Amino acid sequence: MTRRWPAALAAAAMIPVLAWGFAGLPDYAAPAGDTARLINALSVPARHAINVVTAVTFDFRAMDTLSEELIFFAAVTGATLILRALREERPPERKDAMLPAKQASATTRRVGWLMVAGGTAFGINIATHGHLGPGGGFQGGAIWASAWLLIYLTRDYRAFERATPRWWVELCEAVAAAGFVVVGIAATFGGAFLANILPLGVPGQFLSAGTILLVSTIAGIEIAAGLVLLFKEMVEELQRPPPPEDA
Amino acid sequence: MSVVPFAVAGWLVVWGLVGMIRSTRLIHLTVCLGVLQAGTYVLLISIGDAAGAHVPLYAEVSPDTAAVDPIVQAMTLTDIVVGATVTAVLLALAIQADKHRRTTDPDELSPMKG
Repeated sequence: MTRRWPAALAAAAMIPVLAWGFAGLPDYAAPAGDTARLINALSVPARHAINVVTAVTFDFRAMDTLSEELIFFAAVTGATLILRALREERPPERKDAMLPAKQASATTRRVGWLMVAGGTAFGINIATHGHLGPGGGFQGGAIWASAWLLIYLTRDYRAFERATPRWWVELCEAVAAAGFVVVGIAATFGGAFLANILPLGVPGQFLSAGTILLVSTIAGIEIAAGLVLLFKEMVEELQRPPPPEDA
Repeated sequence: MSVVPFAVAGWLVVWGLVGMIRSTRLIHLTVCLGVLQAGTYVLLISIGDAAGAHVPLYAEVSPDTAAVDPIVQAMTLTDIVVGATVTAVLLALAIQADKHRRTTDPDELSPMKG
């Protein structure tokens, strides 16, 4: 507790700085700045993308999204490595030493199938239609992964393990993370890194907006696979009996 | 109405930070970090709002229609996903601290101890 007082004083000193920063913001709901107006006006004529946010994420500011996706990849790898190293330190146990699986009721299983199927379809829809409506790769990938976690929640650990083979999830995540970079490098032959080189099509149709559709789908696969891998590692933690308390 | 979104963002940031400083458990610290991040998301979205402006979706309106700022929305959505993953790393570290050091008190987890 003695180390907390200097930290608390520093926080108290930060509040005037925070207030000064907030006072310097433009008035709430002031008209949008020049960059925002320009990007809003250019998104449909220049990129044939109806959803400007997705066009910003995967085309105008694709470099930032690449960095954020690699941060995501590194964080998933870090959490996985920590948890796997912890598991390897445990004394080896026989497989049947795991907690017995609770059998879910038939109603839960059937509703679970419906929700998993519906959630997966919805997630893939959001991830691939980012350029046409609200959505994009990141959002769709998160929805897809959450639907996949429902397999564990409505059934049991073994069903979840069967549905998400580790090598397949890791392969999808790695290939999709690299796919973003590969698309960017392929675009250098047509202009610049991460330029939009595919045909732009007609705004409003599914096959439009060039590389935005491709990169959004690849990002969706990566986010979904990364989150499913995280879920697998966390769920694995719950499957061992708790370690005996030391004396 | 004009300062409420900024006040909410500032409130979340301040209380998230105070919670992190006063925390005695790593899991509680991770949740307070989540509150702090939520404050920054509210701040980002509030900066982009414009009075009487359309959403940045040009499905039925002409591209000249004024819309809210899409750049801060793009920043926020990627931040949310990455923030969730960083939370996972912190939780994994909390599990590791509990196993190796037998404590999750941030004050006890000083690197100088054995």
